[in-house]
Amino acid sequence: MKLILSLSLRNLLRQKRRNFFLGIAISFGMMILVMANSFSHGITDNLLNRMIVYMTGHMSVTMMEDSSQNRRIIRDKNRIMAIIRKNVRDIKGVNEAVVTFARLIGNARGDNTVVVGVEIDREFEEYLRQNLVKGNLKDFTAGAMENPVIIYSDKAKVLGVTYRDTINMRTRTVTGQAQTARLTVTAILRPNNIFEGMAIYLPLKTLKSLIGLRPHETGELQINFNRINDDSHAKREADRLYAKLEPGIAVIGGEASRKKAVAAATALGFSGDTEARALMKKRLSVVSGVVPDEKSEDGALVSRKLAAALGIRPGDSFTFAYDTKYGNMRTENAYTAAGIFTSDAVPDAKLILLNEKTFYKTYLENLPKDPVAGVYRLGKTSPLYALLAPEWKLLPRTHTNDDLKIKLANMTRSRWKGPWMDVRTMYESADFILTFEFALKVVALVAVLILFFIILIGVINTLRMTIRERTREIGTIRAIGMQKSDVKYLFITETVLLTAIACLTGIAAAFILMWVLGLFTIETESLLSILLVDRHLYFLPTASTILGYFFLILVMAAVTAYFPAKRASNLSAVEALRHFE
Amino acid sequence: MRSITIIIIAVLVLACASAHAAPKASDIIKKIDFMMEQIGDLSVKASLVQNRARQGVKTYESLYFRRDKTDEFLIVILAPDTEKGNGYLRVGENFWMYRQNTRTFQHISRDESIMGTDAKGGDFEKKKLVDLYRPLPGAGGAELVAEEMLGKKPVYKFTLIAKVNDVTYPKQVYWVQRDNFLPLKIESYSLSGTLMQTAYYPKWTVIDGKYIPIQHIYIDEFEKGNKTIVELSGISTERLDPKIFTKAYLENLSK
Repeated sequence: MKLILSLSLRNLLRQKRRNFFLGIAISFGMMILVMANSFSHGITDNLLNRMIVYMTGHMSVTMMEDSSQNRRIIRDKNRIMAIIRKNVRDIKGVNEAVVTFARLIGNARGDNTVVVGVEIDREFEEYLRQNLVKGNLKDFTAGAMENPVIIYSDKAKVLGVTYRDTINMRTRTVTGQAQTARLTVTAILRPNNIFEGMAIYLPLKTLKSLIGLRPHETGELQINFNRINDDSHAKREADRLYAKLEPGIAVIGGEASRKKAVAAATALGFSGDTEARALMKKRLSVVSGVVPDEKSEDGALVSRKLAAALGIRPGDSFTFAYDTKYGNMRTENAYTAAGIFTSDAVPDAKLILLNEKTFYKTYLENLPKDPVAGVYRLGKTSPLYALLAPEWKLLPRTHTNDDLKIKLANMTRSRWKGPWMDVRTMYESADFILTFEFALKVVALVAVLILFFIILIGVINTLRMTIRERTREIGTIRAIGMQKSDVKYLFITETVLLTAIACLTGIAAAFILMWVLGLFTIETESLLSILLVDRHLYFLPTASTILGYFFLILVMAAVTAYFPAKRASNLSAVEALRHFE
Repeated sequence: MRSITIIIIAVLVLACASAHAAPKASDIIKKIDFMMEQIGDLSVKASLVQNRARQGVKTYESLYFRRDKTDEFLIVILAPDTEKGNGYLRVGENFWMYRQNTRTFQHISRDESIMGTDAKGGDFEKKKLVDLYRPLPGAGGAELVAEEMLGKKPVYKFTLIAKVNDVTYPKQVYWVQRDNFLPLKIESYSLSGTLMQTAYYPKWTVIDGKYIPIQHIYIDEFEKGNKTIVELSGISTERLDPKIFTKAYLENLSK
């Protein structure tokens, strides 16, 4: 083998000029392949890891109320965060994502924007410092300025504002109320791409307060992983978290009172859909009065035990008070007993059943303390379990953007009053980017394979010519005892060696060219900016892909060389020695 | 004798005072709700002229059918050409947007914009003012109603604050004509108290004994220079065919 290798190398060097030109062709093909691949991977990386990840996180947990995609509120932020931290692996950080659309009015004119609530950590501070054009970052955090805001230079230009100027902002609260605020420009940044320029930054606490989110609430929770570009990890963790977010029955433990009578009671919501109502008729017996209407604002079904304790009859009003989980408050609501019920499933329970609308109105606005002693607990096996309102409903996991859209459209159609919860990864929500990258890679690969096909025809031609020129040499080496297979391997090795050296040269050339192209500063805020990082062209070569292509081309070269080499090895030594041109 | 005279005078003074006292704001909004409830079925052609600062004027035209009894409405867009044939249909809790070019119905939420204007789906829902707002109480807890002149018309002025948190404007100030309780002007404020919009209803018509505002003028107070004028014509309060509030009807219109 060593002999064949040294002979091959010697033969390559014997025909320097011919092999040099052939090598250049192969190098060029390899260089284009590596660059095209690095470029498409760079675009994807730029879109996913420098843009979309800041909008969605690698994974996100969202809760939407009133079956509206616009009402994104996680009421019990700490609880959901604890579940995430306990069950999701390899977390880099869990962030509150609070974002709202707004209209800004500056000195010159108005413009629309996306307002992002931020907490400045070391990474973000570094980013701000690198891109600061004007202003003082300390003003943003010091708390001395009214609603401090960081904006990008193009937005500042449109609005006609500069450092310490004020901007009027119009937006909506999470429940859709009109809200306004006067913002003070504390810093102006240089945008790195077209998408950045659309956003402005407000301190998270300020933005939450402006749009009506209380400290224990948030818009969405975004999870970032330590390992990036690992979509399978993100999807696996999302599935895992999804399984752990199974909701229980929403329960409010409190005190019901009428006149001077007081009794500990548990309030539950009952589902308003037709199926649940039919089930209700089977499992509950309304002994007097009626089941409150779906649209009723204050109607309640009271269990016979509670009705007896408080002396309630249908039509009577009573109050139900409970302690809230946050804010150390007590909430009191007045209800009217629409009916009295009894059920074998809960014979001794002092229960108040409210329709979903009435129940979630108080449950979501004033989260009750976690169930304590005295609260009636219904197990999953209880016949009433299926008809009671859950803490939330989980939307099914979806793996493509199209499925996500269908899922959200179905949710809007449902008109359910309680909160919907959704767990998704950016690789699923933005799967079109991965598809785009795949398409780019396929196009590049096909183009380069065509190029290689042409180059390899040249290889075959060259090899045939070489064999013809070296026929007498083949005869000589066969005559002195070289085996047929050795002759075959000699020619294959020559071709593979040439291809390997050329490919390595091509890879080196690709890296040099990518480095050179990356040196040019390109000032653009157009869509072309998705090709840039820090205003420079961005290539992201990956070792696995380059190695894959390298070996693919070696195999192609070996296969191409096989048939001429076989023909050469099959020549008779006598015939070959007699060969004369 | 003297004391009897004083008592009689006092009673007369009180009676006169009460005869001229402004009604309570809560009673006025109940009256407004009552007047709106009387409309029942309604079909109308609406023209909406939206004037945006630096963006020029856009005109929209649509047919609007409403049936309060079953909480249904249908909007069919007639202009601009890019929107012609599109529509919005609401039946109970369901709200669809129809796209004529794709012949598809998309389920949308009440928060979504209608025709790209500032109007939302929720704005067309049948809602009672009394369910959404309550009068702003004064220092002593009493409802404050002032008697003023709006131009040449005597009006009651009072302030309402939201009872629920899903109304667009948490605070509104009403100017209501004294003799017939028609709202002539409404100022709407944001949560932080900024005046956002002033709406004028200068022209009303009476059809079959029902009051309908035929011109609405909305002035954007936040972004100066923006103004929207809505004018209604071809108003009918006759009973509408239930078929109107169906997807098939909307589809057939654009065939």
